[in-house]
Amino acid sequence: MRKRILVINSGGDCPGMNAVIRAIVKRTEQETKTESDIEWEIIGSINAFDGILAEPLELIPLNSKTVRGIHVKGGTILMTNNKRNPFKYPVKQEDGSVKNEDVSDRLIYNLKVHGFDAVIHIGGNESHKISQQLYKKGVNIIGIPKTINNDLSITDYTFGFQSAAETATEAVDKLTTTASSHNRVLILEVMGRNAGWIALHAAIAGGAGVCLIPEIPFSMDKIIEKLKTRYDRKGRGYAIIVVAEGAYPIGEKSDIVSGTISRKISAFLKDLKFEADIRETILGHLQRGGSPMAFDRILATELGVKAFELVKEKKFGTMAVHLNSKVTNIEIEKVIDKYNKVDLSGDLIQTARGVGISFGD
Amino acid sequence: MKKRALVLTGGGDCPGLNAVIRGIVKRAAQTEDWEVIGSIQSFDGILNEPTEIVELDEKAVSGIHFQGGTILGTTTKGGPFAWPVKENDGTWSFVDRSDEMIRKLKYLGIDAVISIGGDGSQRISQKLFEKGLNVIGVPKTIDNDLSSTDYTFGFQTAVQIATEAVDKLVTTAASHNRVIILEVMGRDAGWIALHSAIAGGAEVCLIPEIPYDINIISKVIKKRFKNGKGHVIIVVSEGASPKDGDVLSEKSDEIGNENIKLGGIANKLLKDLKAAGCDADMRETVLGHLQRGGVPIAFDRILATEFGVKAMELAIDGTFGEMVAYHHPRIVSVPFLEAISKYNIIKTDSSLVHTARGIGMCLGD
Repeated sequence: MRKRILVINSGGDCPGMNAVIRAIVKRTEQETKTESDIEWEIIGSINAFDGILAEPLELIPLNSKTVRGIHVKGGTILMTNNKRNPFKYPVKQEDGSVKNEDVSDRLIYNLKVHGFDAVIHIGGNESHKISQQLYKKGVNIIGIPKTINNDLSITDYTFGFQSAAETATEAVDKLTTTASSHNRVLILEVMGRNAGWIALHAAIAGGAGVCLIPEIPFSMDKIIEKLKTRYDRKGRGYAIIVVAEGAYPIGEKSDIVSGTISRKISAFLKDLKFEADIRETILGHLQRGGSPMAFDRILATELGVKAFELVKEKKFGTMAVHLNSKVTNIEIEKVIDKYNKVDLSGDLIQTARGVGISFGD
Repeated sequence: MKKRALVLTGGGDCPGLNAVIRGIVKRAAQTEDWEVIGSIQSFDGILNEPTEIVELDEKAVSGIHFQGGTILGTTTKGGPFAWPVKENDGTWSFVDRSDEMIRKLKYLGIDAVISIGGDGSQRISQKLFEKGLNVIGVPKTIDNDLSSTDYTFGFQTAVQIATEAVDKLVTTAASHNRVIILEVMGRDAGWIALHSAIAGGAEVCLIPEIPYDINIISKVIKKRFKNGKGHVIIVVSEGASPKDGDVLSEKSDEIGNENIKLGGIANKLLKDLKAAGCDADMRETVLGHLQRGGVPIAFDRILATEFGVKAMELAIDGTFGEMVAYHHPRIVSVPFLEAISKYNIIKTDSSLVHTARGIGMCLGD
């Protein structure tokens, strides 16, 4: 008997996705070798849901040859897209305009016609809202969490996060030497959406003076107060401000448009005639690129192996997660309705304050 | 007069030690009444005459969190309970100088001692605590072999370095159709080996927890080679051993170092594989102290900083006889006795072992 599993990844790319794909394939091939009555087949959908939705379909067979050595590479061999929600799928109209339509029924039809028994969906928060909707419509789906932002609750860590935190930390390391040579204030803007995990980790690991995160709205006066302690009477000194893209001043709202918040802070400081030179660095997609750290590769491999086993055990509607140092599974529903924000009473915040980092509060 | 905390680092060095020292000093600088000094080369700084202690203020620790090693220096030898003394006939004996040291700490006005070290250091800390000294421990081991904490700093950096070594060995092994054996650290636990084998995608991983069968490894290698083409990466812990054999070790010739010296397993494995009929080209790489060097990765710097801040807070609160630990996601403290009572070895039914087998890795059994 033949059984087919479709692997889809959606949302932004993230170091470790390839390691997940490789692990699914390697675990599956082992099963085929030992259980002769079922022949498992792994197929990948190109560019998120496009592969299984857009005609002509783009589906590629995945085997140990196609996945050889990919765990070392960032990105995803399947390509990904964060604007391909099958419930709001962009469809070109006759007049040339594009309208978002619900094509989920066509997706389900295509899965049936092409004989897919299960779908493994690798994605972030938004992606798994789609997983849950598809599961409710009867699709045999298993989720794998993916986000560099670490903003999914009920999983200890998500792969990609440590690689992003490392990239951001190395940026702080580099900015520190140039800031101190020029007596400058350097602002580093990092990703994170509505959570400040990357910023907080990079600020502690890199040793920044100020860290601004969405969980703690900041006051410009408090930042200035901190910056002043970093300079002597001759104007010598330097400071690094790590700011999450989702951070915002007290009384305002979060923007999350790349570059907005760091430029805003820079302009504020200049308006208030803060005397040091100020420059901004927007780290952007460097945080998603490059070879994943060992930590993320291992986590991704664990989740890939688990995902196949969940398919085999028919635990559909659940997600492979790393919880309390164990690899286990949990209902997708439970994961998506809770966002994982930085815990203000947690030890990480206390550590940051303990080494004198200011949050602008 | 200000209260004084004495910081020292003992045992093998480990990326993140400086970040702990910086965390302690920065936390103390936020109080009105604490100052921090450091003892050079573990307890030697206090025991030596003239005394070797350094003032640790914010200036002294500025920017040190990105340096590996320890600004205080460290040693794996001696200590207050077994101070090596050369006799007239040239032999060495050991003297217990602990009471003398505790008196000296009193003269120096030390209110708290923060000892950063491995299990040997924590054992010394417990004995000193029993003698009435105000000691706080910070765990340190790149081997991740302490059970009382989820992770120790330095471990992730060592794993990253070992993984990058596997990445590099894969391309050269594939080009030459070779078997390459990578020997990594890990005395009684195979954490570094297993992590880097999964992350790097090695075909074989040998750890102390699972004694290996040379014939099984030989079979795996034969399967991976077709018409002389193929390659295999074997990651082996220095403490791994065959089913019917012992760990390769020798007694250290350094005075006062009680640890046995491990190593040589890669070379033994290479010879044994040849003897078992494996005719592929084989090479060995012994990673050695590269695993302790370099810049700590972000993960370890953060954990080390958390430990440093927590240790200083224990001193401020007057909680002694305990070691800081990480119980995800909280930083806690545990009594020394509990901290040193159990080794953290890899459980053979853990997710990690399951994952390794799940992608087809041979663990030698």
